[in-house]
Amino acid sequence: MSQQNPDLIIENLHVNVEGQEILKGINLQANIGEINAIMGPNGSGKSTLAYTIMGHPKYEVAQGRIVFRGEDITKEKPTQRARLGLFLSFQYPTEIPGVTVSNFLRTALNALRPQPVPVPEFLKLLKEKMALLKIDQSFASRYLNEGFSGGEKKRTEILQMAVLQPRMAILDETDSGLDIDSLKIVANGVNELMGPHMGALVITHYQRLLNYIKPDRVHIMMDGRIAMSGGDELVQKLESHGYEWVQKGAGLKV
Amino acid sequence: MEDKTMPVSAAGEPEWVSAKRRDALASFSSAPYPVMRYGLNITTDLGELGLENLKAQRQKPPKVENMNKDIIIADLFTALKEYPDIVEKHLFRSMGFADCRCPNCITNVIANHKLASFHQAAWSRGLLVYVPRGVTAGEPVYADLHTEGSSIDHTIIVAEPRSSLSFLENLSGEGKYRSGVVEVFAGDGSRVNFGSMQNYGRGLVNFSLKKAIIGRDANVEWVTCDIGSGITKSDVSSVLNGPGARTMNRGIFLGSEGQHFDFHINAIHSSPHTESYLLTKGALNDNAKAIYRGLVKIAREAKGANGYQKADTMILGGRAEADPVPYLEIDNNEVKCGHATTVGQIDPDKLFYLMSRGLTEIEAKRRILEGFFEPLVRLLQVEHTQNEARRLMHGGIIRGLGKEMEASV
Ligand SMILES: Nc1ncnc2c1ncn2[C@@H]1O[C@H](COP(=O)(O)OP(=O)(O)OP(=O)(O)O)[C@@H](O)[C@H]1O
Ligand SMILES: [Mg+2]
Repeated sequence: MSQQNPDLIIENLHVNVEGQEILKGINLQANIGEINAIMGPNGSGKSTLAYTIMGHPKYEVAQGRIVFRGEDITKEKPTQRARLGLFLSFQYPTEIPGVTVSNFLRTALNALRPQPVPVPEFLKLLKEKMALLKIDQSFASRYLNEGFSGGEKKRTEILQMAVLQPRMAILDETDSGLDIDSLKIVANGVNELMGPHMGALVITHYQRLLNYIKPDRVHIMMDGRIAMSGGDELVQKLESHGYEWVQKGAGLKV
Repeated sequence: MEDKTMPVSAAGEPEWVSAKRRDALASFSSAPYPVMRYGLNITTDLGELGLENLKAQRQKPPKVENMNKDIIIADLFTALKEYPDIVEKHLFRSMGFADCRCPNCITNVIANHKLASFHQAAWSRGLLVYVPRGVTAGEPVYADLHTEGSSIDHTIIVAEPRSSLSFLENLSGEGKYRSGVVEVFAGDGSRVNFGSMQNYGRGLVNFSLKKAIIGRDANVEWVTCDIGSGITKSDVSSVLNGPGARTMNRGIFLGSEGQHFDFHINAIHSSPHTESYLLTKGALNDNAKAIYRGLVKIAREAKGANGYQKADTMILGGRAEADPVPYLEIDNNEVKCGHATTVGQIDPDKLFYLMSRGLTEIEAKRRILEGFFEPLVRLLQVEHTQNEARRLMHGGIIRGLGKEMEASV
């Protein structure tokens, strides 16, 4: 395994948004089957990195590249990235009026599978995953994210992940907006789905989530760069020392 | 009128009907053709229609499905024989209701309006639906009005006090010209739900005038869906004519490839505590154009009235244009009234969201558009018409987006 190239390789990534450089040379590697946590202060570029990996057209790659499962996807459309197995759980999920959760998920699943999934099989899968995440069945026929509470949106993101079964999920602050019980349910759900065939980049501000979802590695972003990487002891350090400590130690990149 | 023109009277109809036709013919001859203006520099001149020389075509009588024996559903010529009092009391009565005075509105200048006068002179197919006092019609009345060539269709709906009716017209066919007037008389405390699904061939000019006179505590809901025809001139008016009268008007349009739409939606509050809600949603591809004028008019007598209008248009192709113009005319201070219009493109964040789940750009756009219309489609009363509306929109959306895709490759 160690001889093989990592599944996700981000190399010297520079990203501009509306003419302003936000990511200033990110290097990051991650494998399917692993959990990588990304932490960092507000505005350090975590969501920008997530959007860029997923291919949002507003985020312009000025330099560097992104390789996933051996394919350079730097210029690919989000569609193609999803089909290769990437998934983004949005920090602020978008409302899609008039499109029901169930209808949408079936379309998406069929877009990812080589063969369309028969309706009864799909409904069974959806029901099962809704039960896993303790989402009321009535949500299946509601319009996607429309009028959902903050926490309901986050849970629905994880429901989508559970149904679509990506290889690598980016969870952008999935924990923020969740109450304590919901956090447990979502974390349990994520853990259940995680395994040798699925990895995650978990973006979070809080130790709370990482107590449930144990990261293999932790990366700390500061001002558009990865300032420090290490094991999960970093989470503890950060909690007690704050980001100033990272800034001071930024020279000592691991 | 000469032989080759539309017949001015039908065999065996009563003299009072023929007299109305003659009066209307006189106004038709003296009135100028309307010119529709889109924004600053786009105009459609209807003079080229040459209605004087329009060939008459026999149309199949309306095909109507309903099992309810308590209500009257009759071809209008038959109704003239069997229910003459009902027809005489209502035929063109809604036209007499003074309402809108804005310069482009035809609802109040009907006698002088070319197309409306033509309709009154030459109507050649018709339908009467009569719901007696206190009767609930139950299952929606479904009317299939198919046009071959040209047709002039007149529909009268009478809902007597405390009755209720759902009605749905399906407008289809190919041809040159279609004129359709619908008059709804909603008696005190009645409920009428009127749905319309229009998908004419692209060569046809569609003139449509719908008007409801709504009594005390009565409620009329309109759901109209315009997808076909080359030029559509459509006016839908609700006259809130008794205290507590309400109307909801929801309109959908979807156009591409040179289609023109001219909508005029009116809510006329002439009584206190009346309510109106006008909502229009449209999408335009290619070089299609739409003008939308919504009017909420609140008369001095209409204390405590409440009116709101909203028009949202999506522009899919670079050369499509939409021009929404909301009017509020308020002669009373003790009212609530508001409006909102948007003209925009597909939200790139919605597009990204769906594409990030594996949908192609075109699938994602299609979903967003279908979702945009879906809440209104759901209001069509008959399920197979809902599905028909979805199917037609699906086709229309794919057609427009397909082109865009070719262009982008
Ligand atoms: N569309 C945009 N237009 C302008 N500036 C942007 C845009 N998107 C991001 N930025 C800027 O880029 C920087 C990084 O933002 P980003 O959302 O990636 O931060 P983050 O690390 O996710 O923060 P948070 O922890 O608050 O979610 C911020 O300064 C932000 O204002
Ligand atoms: Mg963020």
